Amino acid sequence: MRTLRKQKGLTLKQVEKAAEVSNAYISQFERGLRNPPHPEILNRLAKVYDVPARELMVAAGYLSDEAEAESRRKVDLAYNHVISDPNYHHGTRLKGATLTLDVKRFIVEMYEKTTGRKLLEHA
Amino acid sequence: MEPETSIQQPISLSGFCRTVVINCSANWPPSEETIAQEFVRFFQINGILNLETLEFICRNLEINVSQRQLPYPLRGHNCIYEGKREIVIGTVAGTAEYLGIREHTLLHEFRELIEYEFRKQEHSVAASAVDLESRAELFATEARSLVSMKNWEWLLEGAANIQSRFWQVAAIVAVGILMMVHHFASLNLPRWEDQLTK
Repeated sequence: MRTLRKQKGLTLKQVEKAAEVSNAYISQFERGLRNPPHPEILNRLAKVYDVPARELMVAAGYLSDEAEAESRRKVDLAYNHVISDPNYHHGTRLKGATLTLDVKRFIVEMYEKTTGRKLLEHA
Repeated sequence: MEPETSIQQPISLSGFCRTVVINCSANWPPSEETIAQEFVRFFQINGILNLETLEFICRNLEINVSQRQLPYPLRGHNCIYEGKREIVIGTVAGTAEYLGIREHTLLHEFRELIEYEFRKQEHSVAASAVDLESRAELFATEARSLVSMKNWEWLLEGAANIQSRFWQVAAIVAVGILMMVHHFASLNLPRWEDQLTK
């Protein structure tokens, strides 16, 4: 987490303001003195650090690597179905050209909503 | 004087595309500036190109528009399936809300929907998906710029009609500076977007 923050060139105070998490808490967490933050806080930090929230969830132990790999496989499979459907067209406006797993999942969910077909299992 | 153009009725996305095809047939594919000009003329956009105006246009074209928090790094999404058209734009907060980022994204997605219609009419404009991305960005910038230019012209005319020579010059200079600042900001909005949406 400290590496991510340093890569973005942010101070603890700046992260505190952007993610609405106390800088003391972030500092303690970065030094391994606190348990991993709540997933909601990780979501906010992911936005500040420009990384997919799932990556932080895996790093924090909320998702296991195996579960993440299985989830990724299912989403990739569903996404491939979406892009190969000749009757369905979609487009995106992205920062950069990388489709993250979360973005693919969103595209699949939009497909499911629009076509009424289910591709992913929803809890 | 407005050039003579053909506008296909009734107002629909396919009608708009047919109009562009007819008006630009001699010089196909048209530039994004030309498509933006056709867009502004066809949908008779005279005031401010804000989100409400764009949502109104989309509603009339039966394009469902919604806003929601989108996963990073997604800013907008569009899809079309069996006549159902949908655009989703990401929510923004703070300064970004007032600088036209949502409008820019909505125009970008709208441009992509236009391209599907062009393809259906066998008049593709974009050569590839990557080309369409950059064209959609350009279209959004051009459309916003064109509409704001109309407003600036109106302000310049008002300034030119001021009786006092001193205030007339001062008003024209002030409008000119504001116009340049606005134009510069419009062109650079996509680049500043990341900072503004933090």
